[in-house]
Amino acid sequence: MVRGQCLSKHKEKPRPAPHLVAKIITAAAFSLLLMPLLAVVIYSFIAPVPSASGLVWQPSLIWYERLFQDQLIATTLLMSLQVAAITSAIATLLGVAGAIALERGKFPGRHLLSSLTMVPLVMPELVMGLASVIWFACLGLGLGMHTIIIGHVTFALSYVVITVRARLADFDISLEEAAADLGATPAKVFGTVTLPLIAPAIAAGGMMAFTLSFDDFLISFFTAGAGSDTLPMRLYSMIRFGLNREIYALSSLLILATITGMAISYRLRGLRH
Amino acid sequence: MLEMRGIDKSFDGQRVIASVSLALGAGEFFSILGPSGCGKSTLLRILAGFDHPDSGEVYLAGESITKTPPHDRPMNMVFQRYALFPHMDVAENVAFSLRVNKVARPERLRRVDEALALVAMDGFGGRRISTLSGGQQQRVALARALVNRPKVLLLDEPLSALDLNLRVRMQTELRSLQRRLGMTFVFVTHDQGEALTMSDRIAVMNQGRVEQVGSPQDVYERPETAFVASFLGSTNRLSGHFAGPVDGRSTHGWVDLGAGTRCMARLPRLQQNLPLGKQVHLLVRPENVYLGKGEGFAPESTVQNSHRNEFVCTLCDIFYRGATVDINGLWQPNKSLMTATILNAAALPADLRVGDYARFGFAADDAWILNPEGAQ
Amino acid sequence: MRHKSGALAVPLALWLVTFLILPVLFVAVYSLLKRGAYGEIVWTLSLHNYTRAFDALYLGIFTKSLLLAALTTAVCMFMGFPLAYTIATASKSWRSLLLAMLMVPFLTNFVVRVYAIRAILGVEGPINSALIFSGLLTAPLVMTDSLFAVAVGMVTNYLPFMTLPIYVVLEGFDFSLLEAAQDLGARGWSVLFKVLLPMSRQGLVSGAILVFIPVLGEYMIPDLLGGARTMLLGNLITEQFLKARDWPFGAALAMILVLAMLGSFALQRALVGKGAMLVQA
Repeated sequence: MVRGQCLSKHKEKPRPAPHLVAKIITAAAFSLLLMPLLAVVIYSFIAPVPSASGLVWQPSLIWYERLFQDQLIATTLLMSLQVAAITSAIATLLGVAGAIALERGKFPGRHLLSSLTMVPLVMPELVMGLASVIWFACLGLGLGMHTIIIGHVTFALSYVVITVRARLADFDISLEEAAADLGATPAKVFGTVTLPLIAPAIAAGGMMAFTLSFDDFLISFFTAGAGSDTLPMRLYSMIRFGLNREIYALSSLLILATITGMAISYRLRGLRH
Repeated sequence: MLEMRGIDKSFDGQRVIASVSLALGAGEFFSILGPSGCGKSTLLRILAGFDHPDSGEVYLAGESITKTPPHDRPMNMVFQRYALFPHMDVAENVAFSLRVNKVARPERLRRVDEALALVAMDGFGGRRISTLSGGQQQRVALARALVNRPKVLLLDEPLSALDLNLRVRMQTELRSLQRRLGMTFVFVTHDQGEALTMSDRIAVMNQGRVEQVGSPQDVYERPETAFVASFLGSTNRLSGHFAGPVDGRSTHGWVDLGAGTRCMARLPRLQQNLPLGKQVHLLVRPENVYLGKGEGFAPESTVQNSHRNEFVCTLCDIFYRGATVDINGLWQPNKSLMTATILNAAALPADLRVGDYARFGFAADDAWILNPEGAQ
Repeated sequence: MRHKSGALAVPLALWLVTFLILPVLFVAVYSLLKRGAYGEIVWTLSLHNYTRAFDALYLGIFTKSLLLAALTTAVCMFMGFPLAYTIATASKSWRSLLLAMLMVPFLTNFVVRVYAIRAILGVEGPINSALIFSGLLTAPLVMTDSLFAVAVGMVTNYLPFMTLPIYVVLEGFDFSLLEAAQDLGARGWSVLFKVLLPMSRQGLVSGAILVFIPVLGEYMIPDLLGGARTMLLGNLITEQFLKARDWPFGAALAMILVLAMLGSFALQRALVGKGAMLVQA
């Protein structure tokens, strides 16, 4: 690309500013979105302490202490991490292979498969969850960690395929032709040119699969057997069946994890450019 | 050395290349010239192996390579937008084909340096592709394609993305590089000036067919079809009817332009069998049209022993173009417009005005009779 | 490159068929079966479950769910459009910040977000505390365990889903069209309704689909915020699987949900045309 062309892309005409009404609604929207999270974080750091005048609220780390001592939390966290890791691995493998075939291949049923891959994105989680349960029952497959993973991979696949396909579509095919022209066999072309250049998209897809799996509640709810609860499921139980202030601490940590994850991925993307 | 026979190619039912046969010699700078969509890039891609012809064969040094995949052909290509690998630096890009062919490291490094020196990019080895200008990227692409010493170098409009000054400079550099290496270059372009400057021979293509193959002089001065005549340089085109060959000579003929005017012009080899009365075009290049003012003014003609065709026209435009002057004259009887490009403005009468009468003339040897429907 | 056969796609295809298509087909089959007296499955095909679904008993639930979904979609549109517009028209640096602010709740765990709403609306939450502290109330307002809380929860959780597709459309929007409209005499609201909204149609419809269908099938939000008395379609379906153990009936209800989903796609196609595709996640 000639440098001159690059520069013109970065200058942007200023866009018309929003009306005051729009700004007010925007402020209200952001409050609605962020206040609850802020409240949770704040509440995680205060606790009622008995004093002379009754219960007084003071800053405290007690909920965090209790959280770290909670065995069940540790177990479910471990379960979630394991499930997410395995889901990510399987979804990435199947998804990348599928994306390459869909984007570059020419085989009968390609369009059908392409549409099929999009189905998990639009299908309500509820339907997918109970479909899985019915299916596992028919297959005689007991519920457990493996069924959670199956459920997660099924919807994570779509995201991986989309991400990798987008990158492949953007890919300058003359790079592959140049490599072939210079003597590389198709396998070598893939290894030395294609793969390194789509690697960021694969990583992004994999991370997305991990995050989706870790955060998932509903599919896990249906496909987990007794004793293989994931972290979101545990959180749900804690909320449903008791007022347990550890929840604030757990929630705050999860919020923190999200923000950290976003920061890291932002940094990684910045490095690439 | 490199030969194509009977190449046919269609995409989605559209004929892109129709029975093309070309034979290139060793060490030749061969250009394929034509407008966009004429099939020249597809032809190059068939040579490189990225597209397969529907029928026909490609031969290299006598052996058929039609079925050989691109990575096995001893030919390398310089792509239009360079196709440099963004995740490798300059040296790694150039070394790519050497790595693939498992050349040992010391040898590899030596040849990379050699290749970079060849294109005047020494010292750029460690640079990242994104930091290079267009011209620099083009040289790296060139070095990358040459480092493996291919038998043929294919170039797909490599200069089209460069600005004018750089392009002119690169034309000279490419030409001298080719001469130094003695390698066969197949150069695809839509720019006729480029093709004329650099080539040993040019194949002019239009709508999938090769209309003429010849040296730059051949295609420019002796076009065999109307398309070739109008694609290279500019040309005047007068309509008339074929009035038969000039007696005794099969190389020249008469064209009846109407209003009792007849012109003598060359009859190209391919137009020998024109029927009498057929509607034809008379082509003459503006730089071969000379100007005189008033009646009876006969300027010096450099073409001796050649019949001179002369008309009295009304001057309608005078365009001063710096090194030349273009003068348009209208010939009233059939409202034909003729352009004369005068190379020496000083030779013109000083008081030339629009609306004046002037005599436009050209030698028969400088004009061509062409069948407007093309070569067949 | 060209030569690539479908071999690489086979694992993907097999997985999707085995774990997505077949299960959903089975749901369809199940919806035609019956639950026997002892909870076993009776293999006789009938539309019994579907006719039962339209009993007055359940019709109320359907209506409530549809209305709630429609309301949520409408409110999300009303808030989401100005929000998307503000982000799209902000300067480059502000835009990244605002997008990040939108993405944080979007990427935060769903359960956490729902719980956060409960915390805010709770009896000991900040809203009640503020109202009592300022003297406007003597006793706290019970806002949780109500349809109101469910609505708030739905809007809060699905607002980003509406905003992002609209943002994507506005981001690539040619704003000189608005200037042209103004130049031709259109004033504020006209520009909005005659130029901006129609041209953002695709984003609005995508957003609507990303909100309406999931809200219809929501389970967790009504469960955690709605209390014992609130029963929506999602809860009804789940109940068939957990408590009532009437899988065929639950399957039928799920199929109705799927039909609603297909219906809205047809509607989307009609409104926006073939080019419309769900915005990439």
